[in-house]
Amino acid sequence: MPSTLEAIEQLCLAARDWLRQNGLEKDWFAVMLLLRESLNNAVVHGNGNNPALWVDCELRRGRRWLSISVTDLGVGFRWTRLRKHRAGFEETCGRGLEIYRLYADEVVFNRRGNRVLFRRLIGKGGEGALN
Amino acid sequence: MPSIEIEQNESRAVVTLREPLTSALALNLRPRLQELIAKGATYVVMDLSSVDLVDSSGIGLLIATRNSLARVGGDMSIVGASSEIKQLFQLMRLDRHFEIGEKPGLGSPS
Repeated sequence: MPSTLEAIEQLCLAARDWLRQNGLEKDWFAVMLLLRESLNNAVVHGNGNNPALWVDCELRRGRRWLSISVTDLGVGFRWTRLRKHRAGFEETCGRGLEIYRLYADEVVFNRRGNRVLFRRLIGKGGEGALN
Repeated sequence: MPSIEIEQNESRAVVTLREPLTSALALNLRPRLQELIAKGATYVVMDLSSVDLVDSSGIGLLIATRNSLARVGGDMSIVGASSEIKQLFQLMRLDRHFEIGEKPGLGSPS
């Protein structure tokens, strides 16, 4: 998809249909949250809102696990430094990675930091969890 | 129906949203909220009864609005949030700083 907010909206609509078709309605809140956060990071921070740069996104359903991967064409970021970051209350940004940790069972970045893979157990519902 | 509806009565305003509070809506909502505060609103009720998702951009906007209101001695409350959104707010520690009520009107000061 191109790096635009409109493309995120279109992809999320398609993802919602995909979740319904795959009987994953119970998981939609957590999945949509992870998907939106990662797409937003890829479009805004990864590709700098440049519509000419594409974002690749893949959703897969296994027997017990659901996976989401999002890859941008940016230079990546030093995710090891932000692994346990928690935004202070008055901060108006910097909560995306915390949402990753709360709503995914597994979060894996590639070394460069321009690809993220989430895995989440199917059927857990929309809940996040304190880690 | 518009995705953002604002009713202002002197210093009190109710903002009703009818779309997910994510980056796209936050972009349109931000200037409307800034204008509202500039026009004298000091207490804002954010009605999320028709909202099924809030992401970190939406959370950032809620906090920015609350910070702006606090600077003029005001406050903000949230009403009508779904159980999933309420849990997200708890996990993100927003419930320590916002009043989160059940129905529009419950969050208003006595």
